[in-house]
Amino acid sequence: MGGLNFVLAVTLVTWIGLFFYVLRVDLKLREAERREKIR
Amino acid sequence: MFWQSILGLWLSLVILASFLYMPATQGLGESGRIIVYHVPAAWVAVLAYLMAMVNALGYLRHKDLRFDRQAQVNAELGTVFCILATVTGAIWSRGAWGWYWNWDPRQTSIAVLLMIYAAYFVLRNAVEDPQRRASLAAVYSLLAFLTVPFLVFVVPRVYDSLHPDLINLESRTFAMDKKMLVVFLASLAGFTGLYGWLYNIRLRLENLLHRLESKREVS
Repeated sequence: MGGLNFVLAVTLVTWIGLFFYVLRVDLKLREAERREKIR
Repeated sequence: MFWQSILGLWLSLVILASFLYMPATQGLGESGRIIVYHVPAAWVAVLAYLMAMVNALGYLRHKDLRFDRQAQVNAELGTVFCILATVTGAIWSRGAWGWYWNWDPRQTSIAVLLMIYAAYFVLRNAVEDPQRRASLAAVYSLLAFLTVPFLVFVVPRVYDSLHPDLINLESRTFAMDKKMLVVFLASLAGFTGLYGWLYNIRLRLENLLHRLESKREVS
C-alpha cells in the first residue's frame, strides 16, 4: 500500500504542476493577444 | 478560467479515484490501474490524428493556411498523446510482461505510427514556402492517417499479441469492473477535455505568431 500511495502522490503532484503550468501559458497568451490587438 | 478549473479538478478526482476508489484489475494487479491513463491517451492520439486528416482535407479543398495550422497543431498533439500512450504502455508492460519493451505487435505498431508522424514534422521543416509546405503536408497527413486504423486496430489483432483487449468480443461488453468503468469513462472525458484545451492554446499561439509575421512583412 505504501508503494501505491507513493505512485498516487507522484501522479497527482505531476498533474497539478502540469495543470498550473498550462494555465499560466494560457493566461500569458491571453495577455499577448490583448497587447497585439491594442498595437 | 471556469472550464479550465473544472478540468483541473475533474482530472485530479480521476487520479484519486483510480487509486482509492477503483479496485485492482483482475489478473493484472495494481499495474492495471494505468489503463485509466493509457487508453484515454491512445484515444486522444487517434482523435487528434483524425482531426489532422480532416483539416488536411480542408486545406486541399480551400487552400486556406488556417486549415494547415490546425492540421499541424492536431498532428503535434496526436504525437504528444501517442508518446504518452507508449510510455504508459511500457510502464504497464514492465509490471505484466517483465520488461518495458518486448516488440509485441501492439508496441511495434505504435512505434511505426510514431515514426510515420515524425516524418510528417521532418517534411514540414524541410519546405520553406508556406503554400507548398501546406500542400505536401496535407497529402502526407492523409496518407499517414490511412495507416492509423490499420496499425492501431488491425495489426495487433491479426498477429498474436499479449496485449489485453478492453472489449470482450464474444459478449460485446466492456471487460471491466463497474467501478473501474466509471473511472475509466470519466478519464476518457477528462483527457478529451484536456486535448481541447491544449488544442485551443496551441492554435491561438500559432495564429498569433502568424499575425505578427504578417505585420512584420507589411512593415
